[in-house]
Amino acid sequence: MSTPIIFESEYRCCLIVWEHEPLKSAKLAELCKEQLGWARTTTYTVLKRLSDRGVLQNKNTMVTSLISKEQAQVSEVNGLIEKKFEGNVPAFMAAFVNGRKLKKEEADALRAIIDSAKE
Amino acid sequence: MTGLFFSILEISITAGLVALAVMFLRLVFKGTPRWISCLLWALVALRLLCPFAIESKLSLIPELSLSQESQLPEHGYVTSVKPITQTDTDIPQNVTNTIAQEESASVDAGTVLAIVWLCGMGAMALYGGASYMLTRRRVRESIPLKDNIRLSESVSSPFILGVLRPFIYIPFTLDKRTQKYVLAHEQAHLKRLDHIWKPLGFVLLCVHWFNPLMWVSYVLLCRDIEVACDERVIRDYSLNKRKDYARALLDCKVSQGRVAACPLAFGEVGVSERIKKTLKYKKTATAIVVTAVVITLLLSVGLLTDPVSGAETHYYESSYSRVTEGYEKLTELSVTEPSTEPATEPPVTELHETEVSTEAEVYEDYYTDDYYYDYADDYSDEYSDIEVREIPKLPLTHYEIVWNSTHTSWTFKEVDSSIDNSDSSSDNISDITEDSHYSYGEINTDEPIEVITSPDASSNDSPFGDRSSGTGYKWIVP
Repeated sequence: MSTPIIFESEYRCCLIVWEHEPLKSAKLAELCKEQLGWARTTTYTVLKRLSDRGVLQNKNTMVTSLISKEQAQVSEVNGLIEKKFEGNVPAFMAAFVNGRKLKKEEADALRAIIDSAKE
Repeated sequence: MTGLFFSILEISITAGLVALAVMFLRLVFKGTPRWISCLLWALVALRLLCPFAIESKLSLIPELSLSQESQLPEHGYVTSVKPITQTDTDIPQNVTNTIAQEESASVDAGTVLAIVWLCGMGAMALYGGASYMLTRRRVRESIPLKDNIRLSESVSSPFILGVLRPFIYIPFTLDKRTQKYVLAHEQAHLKRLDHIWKPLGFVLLCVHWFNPLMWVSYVLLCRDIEVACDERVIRDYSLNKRKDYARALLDCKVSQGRVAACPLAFGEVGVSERIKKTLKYKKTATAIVVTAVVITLLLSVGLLTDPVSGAETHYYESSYSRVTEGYEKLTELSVTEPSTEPATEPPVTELHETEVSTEAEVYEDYYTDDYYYDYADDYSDEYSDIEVREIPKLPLTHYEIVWNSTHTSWTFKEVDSSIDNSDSSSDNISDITEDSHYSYGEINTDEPIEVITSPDASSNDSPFGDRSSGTGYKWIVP
């Protein structure tokens, strides 16, 4: 199943959820107002939209995520590879690694990702 | 309401002339920085905002004879009647009745035009308000970048929204390089307070929506604001940086409909002109700037003031000065009479207009000033054949100034609140009537001297004379 699209400003909202979940929707509204300057109603609109899309879940005013931050990030990167590298992962990796020094743990993490990549 | 509309119409026409002058000056000042053009538009705005123009001999505005006479042939004095009904609660019932009758009779072209004007103004305000609210709604999911800058995915080009707490909204998709120049541009807007001037311009356009010159002015103002803002940003840029800036302008280019869709936000207008200007930008020599500013300041005196003799355009002031003069002359003559007792108290007079206190002050000055004796002597010599009468101490009386339909002369109407006048007709105000309860005086501006007689038999205290003795006296007008 492909990960649903999350737009930029929605992503900021998700970041707050990922950091604090599970949390009350009222608390989420409060945090969004504090950090993003959103009106309470705006937060509820976005929350509703993300729930409809299956990114978040609002059960009895308790907000949890259905998609993890990692999933979202992977989906985003895949989109980038599709768009800019015509789906050519090695070309992407070459461009990514090129011109920057990788720490050992970063290289390990990359290797792990590549290893876990299946058909 | 009709009166208000015609006042607005007058202001609009005068301001239109100023706008034409500004458009011409923009061409003359072509090489100078554009903020001077913005300064010139401020003159138009001032002209639109200031209901009473100052009269000056240096005025460049031609005297207007307003089309209002042709539209309201029989009610030319409506404009002067209006402030009475608005400001004074003291008017005797009978007079208000008369006025009401007069106005109801004039439910004609004037009223219709006034209603059309109001509707148009409402529509414009609604449009402005609605597009503001819609834009706000569109950016409510924006997220803060830093300070007053917010990122939004539902905007296609950067703009500023808000008057009191303005925010800069930019699209997510801008790359860092473009973003830097865009922000420099928008910050310059905020420094120049353009987020206040532009809505102010729109509000004035709402009021004067019927004036095509104001639409042209608004469009040109928007352009000048953008170019002036560009100039401020690129002032110290090298050619390479200016090229980048021009590219950033191009990236953010949006359709021309943008400004129309959202008058209170910043759309980018006239991009091709601005790109060319950016690339060609040269610092203007200080001497040229100073010259342009001096010329602007000098012209502003001429453009912001009305001609002195412009009786039609600003009836308030001219009528006041002339009434006051008339009174002074009247009093002078009475004092120079040998048998007259030393001047008694100044006549207590109230005019049915707003500036009663000013009038009283003029009186005070006149009585305490030596100048008044000399002045009076001059007149008594020159007009020694005029019968001169003592002015009796006046009772507290109300007067009303009524212009005739062509605004070339005015009549002076005494209102006696103690007598019921509901049957009296005021159709004939330009003539001296036989009406027993009103005293009319008339001054015709074409002739220097006019004889004032009083038909008022019921009141010997009338300043215009005494009907029972059959005498009147002359009222000298310069």
